[in-house]
Amino acid sequence: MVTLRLPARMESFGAFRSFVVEQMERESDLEELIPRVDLVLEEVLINAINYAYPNGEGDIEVECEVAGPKKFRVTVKDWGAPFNPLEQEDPDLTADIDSREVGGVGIFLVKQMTSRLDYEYTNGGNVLTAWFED
Amino acid sequence: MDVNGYKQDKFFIVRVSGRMDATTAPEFEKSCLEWIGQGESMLIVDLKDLEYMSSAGLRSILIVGKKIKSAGGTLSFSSLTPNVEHVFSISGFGSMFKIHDSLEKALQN
Repeated sequence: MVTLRLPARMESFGAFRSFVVEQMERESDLEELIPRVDLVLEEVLINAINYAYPNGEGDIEVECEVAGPKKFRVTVKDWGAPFNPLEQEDPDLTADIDSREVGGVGIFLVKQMTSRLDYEYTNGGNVLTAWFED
Repeated sequence: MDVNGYKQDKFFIVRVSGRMDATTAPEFEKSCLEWIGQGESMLIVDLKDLEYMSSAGLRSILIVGKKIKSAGGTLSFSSLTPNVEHVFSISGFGSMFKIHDSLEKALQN
């Protein structure tokens, strides 16, 4: 298990991504999971960067590990405003272009791309854990 | 991400390559809105060389799509790579927009 903690800013996004992708690239059987992890990591990080600390600055911590054969786990923590993404309503996928609302797709994609998704607010922080399985 | 556009027959072709994520999608959106502002209303976005798209990309596409619709134009997509096609499919964008296997087929519509 490895962790990286950086300020919740857009400039940290690339470093978090490289950190996780490099861990996955060391394991040949995780290659097919990379696109899904890549997407989920962006959606979760951008949410945290944009919304976790509305009144100031704070950190985000990303932790990841190989969780078994063709299985990977990523945990994203922040110490900002409580936000449970699992409670967010899914977008209306059948809406036409006029009535389709802009936004709200990110968390839905996260739910679809993960094999399991857990959220808890603990010790003053949001902890979102995503599992990926081939 | 690279984005560039050119006129072909009645269409305006937009080519996007690389990654359309939260850091790059605004550039795609801005370019398309500029082309629409210049009077282009029949856009084909060729995604042959786009390897990745997140919800930020979908958001920009929806904004561009709504703008074109209100201008009475059309927006279609061609040559989606597997990862991008997957994201289009689960988000419902695959049924909201016209998707073509190739740019050639998109030009025939």
